Amino acid sequence: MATSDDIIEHAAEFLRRISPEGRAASRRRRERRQAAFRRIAKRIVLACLAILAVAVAAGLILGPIGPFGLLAMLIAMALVSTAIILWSHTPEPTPERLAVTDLAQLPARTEDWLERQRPALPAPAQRQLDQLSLGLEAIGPQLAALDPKLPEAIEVRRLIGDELPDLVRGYQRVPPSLRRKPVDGGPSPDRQLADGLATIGEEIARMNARLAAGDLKALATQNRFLEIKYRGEDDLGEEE
Amino acid sequence: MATQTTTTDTPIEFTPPAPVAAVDPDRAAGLVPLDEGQKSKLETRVDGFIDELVGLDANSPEFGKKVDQITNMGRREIADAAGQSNRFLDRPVKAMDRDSSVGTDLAELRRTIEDLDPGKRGNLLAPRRLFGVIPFGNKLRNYFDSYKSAQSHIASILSHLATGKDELLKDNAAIDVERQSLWAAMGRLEQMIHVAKTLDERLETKAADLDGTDPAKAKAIRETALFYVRQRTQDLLTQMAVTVQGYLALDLVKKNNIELVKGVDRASTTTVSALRTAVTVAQALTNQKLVLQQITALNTTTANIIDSTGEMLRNQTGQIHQQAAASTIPIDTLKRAFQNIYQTMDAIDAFKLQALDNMKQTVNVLTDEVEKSRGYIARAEGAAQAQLQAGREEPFRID
Repeated sequence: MATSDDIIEHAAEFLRRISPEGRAASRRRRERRQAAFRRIAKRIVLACLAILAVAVAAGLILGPIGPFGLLAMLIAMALVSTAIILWSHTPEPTPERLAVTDLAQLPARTEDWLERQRPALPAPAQRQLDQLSLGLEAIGPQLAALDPKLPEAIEVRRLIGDELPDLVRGYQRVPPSLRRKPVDGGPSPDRQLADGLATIGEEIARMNARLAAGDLKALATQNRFLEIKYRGEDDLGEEE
Repeated sequence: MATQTTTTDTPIEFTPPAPVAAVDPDRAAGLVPLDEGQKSKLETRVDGFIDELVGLDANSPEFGKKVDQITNMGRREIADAAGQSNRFLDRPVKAMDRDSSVGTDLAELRRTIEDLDPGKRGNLLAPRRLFGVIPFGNKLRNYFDSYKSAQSHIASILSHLATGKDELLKDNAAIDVERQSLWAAMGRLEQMIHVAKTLDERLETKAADLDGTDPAKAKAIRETALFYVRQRTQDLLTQMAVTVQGYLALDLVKKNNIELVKGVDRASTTTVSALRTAVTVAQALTNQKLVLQQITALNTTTANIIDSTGEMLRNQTGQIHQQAAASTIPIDTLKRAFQNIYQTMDAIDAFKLQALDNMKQTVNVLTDEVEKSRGYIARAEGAAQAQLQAGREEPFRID
């Protein structure tokens, strides 16, 4: 029998799926799957073309390759295609793998990992996951251009490659029966997870802003330079 | 900007701005004005906070959490301002480097100009003689020919100088942007300082009120909350002082750059002006048309780039012609034009020496202060790490 909690949970899940964040997240998942598919398809086509070229060259130089040759060619194509599919399969992200992932790919991998944890997380956290995914997606392009040795890069890595998985796994380790109960008069594990996710979300947004600060400043500087140089505004930038 | 260049008696001076002295933390507050609306909003927050604090049992963990919020007050503002202070420390140093690149170009210009100086060629009007006896060629004509070979070199130096000037202007643009964000950071620090001071005042009164009714709570407030508020006030004031100092240091760099830009402008102008004088004098003395194509081309580009220079050159052209025509000894006009260049360069050299000194002083003082404030920040960070739980709540932020 469906309890009221279950009903509320289902409703929340439905609302989440039709929320803008939820739809954006599923669109991104779809896009990512399609991109991966295209990448594999492209590799297979290129490999098969190469094999065909080799076969044609062999036919021209050594004489007709015959039915056996044709068969060998087809088998080679099948083997190579299988190999490509197997190799292109991205290993399932785990927190241990996240820790050593390239900074540029870290947001996407973390998002992927979070997506897999979704079923194990409570309903209120679902929406936050969508928001986190949005934040991760926004910060992705900036991280791609960031030197991984910079302190900011290390901080981002620690936040989304380390602290975020730690929070989620810490929650998952708590037995499900205890998750809704307040601990020693304090917040319940569900609440703590939600708070932690909110903090991480804010921090991602803040880091995003901080990483963009350099570019924002560069643009403002260029604009100011043009003003000083060509408009001669307030005499070479003398104000006051 | 100077307006006269053709006469040597115009005193040229580039004044280096005075070095920035250390800012006393006690005087650092109040430099960025807060409006009344902000103040009353912050005070409402403080009152709400104190009410909550007093309402709690002094031994409860909630009371401890509230006190932790105080230790955390302004942590982000301080970290933010401190992050910027790292950047403004290396700006004066970079500016000093930039000076040297402009300096190399100016030195090169000076060497080239010295070769053309009519004062160093002996009596140009005396006829040239082979072995001192046989008349051979014309000294003056040879002299003016040397311009033709020097012109492309001069043109390239001047265009280097123009690039150097652009760098200086870009530097100033960056400083403007930086100062703007520093100003904003100072505003946020100021808010926190206001909160800290109001908290101090009101907690003190509250504790005095409680002395009669609940001495234990009064003691707790004095020993924990008030103690942390005072410590935090000191941190905020220290950071504010450093930031103000950095703000002033940036102004110093900017003013230095402006002076240097003026110097570069002036050096370019006097040089081009001397070359033009040479063209006129050559016409008057040898009836020879000295064509300095590169310089003519440069004239137009320089005039476009340096607006003031263009204007100056236009004004001077008439004067030069007049002087060259009217002067009984036109070669003196040319000598004066060269004298002008030397004066400008000497003034720049004197300026740079002084400015470099002031800049070094400023950097030293600033480095000391930043070092000091780093100690505070480290402590604040340590406290923040220890209380990460309470840490994220920032009850005093109004924006």
